[in-house]
Amino acid sequence: MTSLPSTPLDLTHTSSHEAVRVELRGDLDHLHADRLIEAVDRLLAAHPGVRDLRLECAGLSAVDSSGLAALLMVRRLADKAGAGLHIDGRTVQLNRILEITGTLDYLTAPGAGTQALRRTGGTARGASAEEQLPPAPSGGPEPRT
Amino acid sequence: MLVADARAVVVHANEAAGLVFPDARPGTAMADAVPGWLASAHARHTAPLLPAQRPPAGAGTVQGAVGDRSYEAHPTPSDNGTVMWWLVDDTDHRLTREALWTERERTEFLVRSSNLLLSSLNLDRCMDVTAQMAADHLADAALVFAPLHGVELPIVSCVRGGGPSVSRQVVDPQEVPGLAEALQGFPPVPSRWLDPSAAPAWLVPDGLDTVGSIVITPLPGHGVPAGALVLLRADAANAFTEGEEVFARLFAARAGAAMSAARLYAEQASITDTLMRELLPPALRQLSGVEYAGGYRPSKDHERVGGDFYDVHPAAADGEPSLVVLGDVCGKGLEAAVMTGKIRNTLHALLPMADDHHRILSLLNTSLLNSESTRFATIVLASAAREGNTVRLRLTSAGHPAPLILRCDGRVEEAPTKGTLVGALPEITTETARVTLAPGDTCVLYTDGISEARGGPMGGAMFGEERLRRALSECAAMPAEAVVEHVQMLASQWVGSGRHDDMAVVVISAPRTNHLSAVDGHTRGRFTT
Repeated sequence: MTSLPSTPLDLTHTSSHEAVRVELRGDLDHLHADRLIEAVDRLLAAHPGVRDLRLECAGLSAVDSSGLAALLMVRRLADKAGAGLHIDGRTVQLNRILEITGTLDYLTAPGAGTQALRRTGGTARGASAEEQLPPAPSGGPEPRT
Repeated sequence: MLVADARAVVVHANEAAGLVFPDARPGTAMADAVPGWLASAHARHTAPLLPAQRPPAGAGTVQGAVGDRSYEAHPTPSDNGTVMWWLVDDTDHRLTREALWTERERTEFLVRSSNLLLSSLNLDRCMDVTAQMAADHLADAALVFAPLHGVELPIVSCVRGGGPSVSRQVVDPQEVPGLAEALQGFPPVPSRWLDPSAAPAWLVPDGLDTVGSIVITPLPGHGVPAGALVLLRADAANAFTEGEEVFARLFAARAGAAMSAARLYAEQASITDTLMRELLPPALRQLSGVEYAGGYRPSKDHERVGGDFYDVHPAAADGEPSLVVLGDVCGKGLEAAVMTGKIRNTLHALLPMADDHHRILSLLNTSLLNSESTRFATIVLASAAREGNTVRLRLTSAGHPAPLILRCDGRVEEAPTKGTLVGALPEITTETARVTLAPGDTCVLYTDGISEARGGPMGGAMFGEERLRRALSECAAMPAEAVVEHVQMLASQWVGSGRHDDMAVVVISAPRTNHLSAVDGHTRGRFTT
């Protein structure tokens, strides 16, 4: 066979004041994994006080170990921002890699990662993010960017 | 404006022409009044030719020097045989054109040298090219110095028209004013002139008899010293002009960039080689009555250090289990190699607590955790000890595909162990499986480079766990090494010439033997078939 070309990772996102939703299409692999981390980092910085980060993964074609490492980093970023992480539309392959590596519960647990990471000092933070959350604003969804 | 008749006698010269040609007065012969190039052009125009053979009006413009300036002369012949010459001073025009040509040639030379220099990441080759190009285009001879290598100074010298010659000399760069500073690379020093009589003999290459002028130019690297370029000219009269010196610096900048890139690459390649040697999988053998075999096929990707590894740690005392480790580090390249080394060392240090897989893996996890990265590893641990003629195994997967147990009748089972990967989560969970291997049974540890190898008849299909199980069931009762060979062969055939990830397999077998007395941990048990 000739080497399989990697399908570029395509990211689109919609956001309201409380939730950021990112749709992933293509390969989440060593060539593209960093882009997901950068995008999530940017989105969370642009939407302080967001409650939920949703990754829509139904369009993912392949996920390798670097892609999984990126998801683990996304979980940390979400914890730091005090947001819950939801990984929706998981493909068979994604579920398989999450199950074998024992990361499914960690990635999808509501806030569990936040608690555990804080206990081991995995991230250096002051007060917990939940306490800093401003009252939930009631703004409508922003236009798609 | 100057008018002369058919007999080449000046008829009229206006005031401007008089300033250029003071001798050009009416009645003077052209040959006495104007330079030869204009006189002979006039002769061509007035030659007794048929009108059709004469140069047509507007053509026949000639050019030549008058004193230190240069002029164009445009002829306008008239019917009575006289020719009116219009003179235009084109000195500036010509100088500009010449400068443009020089600039073009230099640009072409710089582009060519860049192409030659950048096509190689080999430092020796870069030095050769630099010396040769400099000698052929910038000077009569050139020397390229690399920074001191211990006490030796690597030198490549080249005389114009010759080939580069390489040498390492034990000389003191301080003997040449400016050379030591240029070799240090920082702070940047300008190129400087050197009195040829002050140059030590080793600075003059063989084949250059006299030295008229020497200029030393540093080869600037990217923060690392790249070396120095010394240009020599034989003739003192033909010294370097300011423009040539600037040009030499431009060339030196390119050569320095190429040489420092080559040096950085060589350093990285040497680090990679060192790590690779350290990471080569060990040769496995029979230990304490348990048979081990391992195989590793690194990815052919350009990243040379892969992420798979395995180790077998023999038991400290007889009757205690040996520990087998097989792992897969996320990613490739140096970072993965560094993490692999760290994992192997940590596990080695944790061997005294090998009876508690969870504890080992938890401690390893903590030592790998850091806040910047979620680079992780998946690992499977196997503790194997001979008990009677069986082998008792404790197997723990930390985020790794579970080991497969191949029974001697061809059945393939998955060991019931699972756990979380190490290095990324604050805490890990593991479940250890206890498995007993009867004589002829085999336990197979593998990395996903095998199960997820892509290829097959159509190209893109995954080898898959099912195919791996079927392949294994064909290996029933084979010795451990044969199982490794078989699995590797099938996976290699599956990917064909395509790209693949690292593939590692370790097999632990209970030898088929009925001569327990022969098994003392050193000799191989005999097989009954």
